[in-house]
Amino acid sequence: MKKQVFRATVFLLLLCFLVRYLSQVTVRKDSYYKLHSFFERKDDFDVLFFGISHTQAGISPMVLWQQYGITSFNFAESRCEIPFSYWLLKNALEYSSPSLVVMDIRRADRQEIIALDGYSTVFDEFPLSLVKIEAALDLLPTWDQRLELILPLFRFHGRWKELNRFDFYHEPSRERIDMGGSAYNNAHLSVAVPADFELLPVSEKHSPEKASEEYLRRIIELCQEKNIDVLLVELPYPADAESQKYANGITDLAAEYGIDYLNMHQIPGIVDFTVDMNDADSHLNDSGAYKLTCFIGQYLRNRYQIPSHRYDNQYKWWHQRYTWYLSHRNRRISQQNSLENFLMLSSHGSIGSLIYIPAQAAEKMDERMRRILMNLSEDTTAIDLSGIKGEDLLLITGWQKQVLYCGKPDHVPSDLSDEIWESLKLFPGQGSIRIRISSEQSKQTQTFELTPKQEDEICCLTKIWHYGQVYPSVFCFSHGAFSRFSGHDL
Amino acid sequence: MTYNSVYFLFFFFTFALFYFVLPGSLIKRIVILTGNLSFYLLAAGFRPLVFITGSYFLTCFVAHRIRSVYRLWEQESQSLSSKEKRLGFSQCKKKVFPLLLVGIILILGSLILTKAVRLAGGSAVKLIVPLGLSYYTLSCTGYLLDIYWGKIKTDPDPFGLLICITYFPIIVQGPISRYEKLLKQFENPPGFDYSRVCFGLQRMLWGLIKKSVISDRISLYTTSVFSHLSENAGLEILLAVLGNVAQLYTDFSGCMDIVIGASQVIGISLDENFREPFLALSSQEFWRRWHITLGQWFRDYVYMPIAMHPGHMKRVAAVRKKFGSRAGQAAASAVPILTVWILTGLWHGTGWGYLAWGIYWGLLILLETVFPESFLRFFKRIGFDTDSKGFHWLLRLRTLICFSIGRMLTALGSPWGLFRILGRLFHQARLNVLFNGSLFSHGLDGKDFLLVLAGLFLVFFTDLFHDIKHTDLRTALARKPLPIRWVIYFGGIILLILTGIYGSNYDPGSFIYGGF
Repeated sequence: MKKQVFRATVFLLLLCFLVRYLSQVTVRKDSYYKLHSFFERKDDFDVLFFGISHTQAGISPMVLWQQYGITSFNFAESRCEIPFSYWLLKNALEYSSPSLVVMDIRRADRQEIIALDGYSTVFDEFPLSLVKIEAALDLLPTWDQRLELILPLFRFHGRWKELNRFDFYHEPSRERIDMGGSAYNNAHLSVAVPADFELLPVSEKHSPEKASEEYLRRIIELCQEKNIDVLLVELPYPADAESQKYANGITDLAAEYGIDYLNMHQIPGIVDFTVDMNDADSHLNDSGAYKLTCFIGQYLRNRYQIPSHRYDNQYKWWHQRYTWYLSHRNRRISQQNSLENFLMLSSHGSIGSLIYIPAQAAEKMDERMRRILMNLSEDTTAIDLSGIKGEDLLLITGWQKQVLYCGKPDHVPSDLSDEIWESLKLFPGQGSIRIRISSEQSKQTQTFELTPKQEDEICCLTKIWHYGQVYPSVFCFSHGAFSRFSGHDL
Repeated sequence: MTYNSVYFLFFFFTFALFYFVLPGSLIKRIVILTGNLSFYLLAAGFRPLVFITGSYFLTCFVAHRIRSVYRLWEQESQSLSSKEKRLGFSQCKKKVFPLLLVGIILILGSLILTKAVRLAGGSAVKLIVPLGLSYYTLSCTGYLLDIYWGKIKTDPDPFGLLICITYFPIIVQGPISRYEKLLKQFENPPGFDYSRVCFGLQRMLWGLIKKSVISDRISLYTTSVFSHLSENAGLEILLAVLGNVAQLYTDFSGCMDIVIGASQVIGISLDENFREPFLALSSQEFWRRWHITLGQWFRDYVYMPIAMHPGHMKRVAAVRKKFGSRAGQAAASAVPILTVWILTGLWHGTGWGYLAWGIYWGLLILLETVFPESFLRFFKRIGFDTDSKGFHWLLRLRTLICFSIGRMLTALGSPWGLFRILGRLFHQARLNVLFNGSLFSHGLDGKDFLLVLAGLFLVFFTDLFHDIKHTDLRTALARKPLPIRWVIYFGGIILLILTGIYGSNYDPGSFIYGGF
């Protein structure tokens, strides 16, 4: 009998291991890509962000780290509405102890819980626990759905046909290295023409609907119970009247609990809808996310005194991760086929751009393109494109979007220096400009010539930093579309 | 909650835990009854439970009344001669006959009513059809008839009978059980036995593989092809027809493996419902190997009473006298066989398709009964060695073809469906679907096809093994060294977990025989 009990126990144990392994292999890796950094650095986080796709695309923890040394994780995910965020928060707090939770209040208009596909991305990677089971029971209407949330193998076992090596050896995705945040991929990246936006006064408001309100209260109460600050936010986008009314309505709820609420519809100038939207009326693009994250970072620093860990040796990992993040981001710049996207992605504090615009191209430039160009600078007034008619134009930006030069190529100083460019020598010619970049650090000197092949071709010399190496490359665009490239292929 | 769902597994393992942990016969019986009622409530809800408990009370009452009359007679008849006893017993039977008739009419009435409403196009009428109606009504009827005929000489145990009628492994799809056999087992439910439990679990695993991996996968293809019949032809149709046969076999026999295995875990042995049917050499033999308990029920409670009825025998004798022995044999068989098969057809489903299906099988079996040797004689005459193994495989192929034709009669809901399918089958050859990839546009890709083929080969191999060795594959496996056994068991579990059709990405099919 003892032998049989021993055998049965070994068999059951092996079966458990087997099921766990099969689950690891077959479950779609989206959740791993999203959450593996959270579990890897679960003790590091000062701030956790929750919300739907607006926050997922709009807040970049890596920018927050780079600009303010704040360690944060962005749990927001497409369709992860307030009830799902509550349970996600509850699961996350089992592993992490942040000092602040930032909750996006978008979708305060839900009467009841709507289980839209996509929640598995934020739950699958959480190990099986009582809280996860509670979440499944509370959020999902059918036993099939609940079972699939508790044991994702039930949903994904059919992937046996499509398994590849990444399913067996978990490797972080280069696409999702922004600590949960996620920018649009190249196929969906754009600089959208924004929808009309008419700001409503704060007095016009709707109270949050039943399910949204219930779970917002549960989020706030859970955080207060654990002595965690809560900041409610409504991110900037060209919101319709109804959405603005719901956003205005949250003010009362925040006041009731004595917590902060940032209704960014009412704070002008955080982003510029003309250049910062990825789609007309909802999500920000990279440029918008950069601005919004910087704004929030400043607010968190001032209001909550979230410390900077930038010079803390325990947080070296974050520098390494930022290197990855930046390299991936820079690589994306080199993959763009449209001038709009290229300039939008170049609008980043760690990228230097030298742009040569022939007179004919400058003349054809419409107001929108000018705004996109002006967006390369932190201070948009620094790029004056008003007097460029009939003249070639040279624009040079450097570290932290500083404008180093903007004007006729003939008048450019022959020597410029900057943290990104290091030493830059410029030799303007007839319809072209020769540039010599010297780096003291690498003792290298490289020479480039920007010569538009067509009269309306815009040429950009961009200094792309990729995994510790600097790759200056020339990208040319004709009629707004990519035309040629010279430099290092990433 | 179907037997192939993960919920059933949760339910079953919880049930088995209570069953083994709690001691004593009475408590184990209470655990079984609680399990039965819980399963019924979870699978069908409360309202249908009223019907099945109604049937139970009716069966119990009628059985008790008949037994009390018989008991009295048994006490009185002890001193009588055997002839007097026979005579007296006939009078007793006459006395209880009206009660039996009312009982059977009431029990079978719900089944007949359901079929009649459906036949009258009442699919839109929302009927409360109790779970397993077709199965427990036959068992109850059989039990009452056995008591009436005096085959069962013991008084019904009301508690045991309630456990039998509601016994959860058999309630949905059978096997159609003899309650007398089950009652004996439930008198003293056995405790834990390691090897028996292992054997039961192995059988459940095999059944789940047959159903979830093979049958439900084939159904993706057959459903797609039959629902777009006019777009498909030739090879696509041939594969769908054969696939449909394989689907039905793995579905139903898979379910039987699950329930017989589950019952074996707790030590209750159920009747087998399949014995390698596609290795049968004739239609008659096929039906002795396919859905065995249904065949036995019809044989015992329909065929034999008709065949042995004095009026029928008198008429057969008259025919034999007038037209010769072969005509007599035909007359003796025709009425009971056709009655049985028309009823079997209607039991399987309502509509002309099932009626035609019943007549089709009835005629085939009648032909085999009346001309048992003619077919073989013909082949012998043209030079075949009819005792050779090769010829036996030809006969098995014939069985498969006969069964496939029968399936086509009901596949599209009407007997004319057979001609539509045959029309498409011979419309074009479409051999190129093997090479241009269009074969894989019907819900199954290349990997699925390979998996189905491998699965069917495995089923075929195990059937052949059982047929040749006359022993259980599990018994043979148990003699192998532990590492080999465990590799096979874990392989089976991995196969089921990964390739089973379950979860929201698939639409797992309910059991085909669960709808009867």
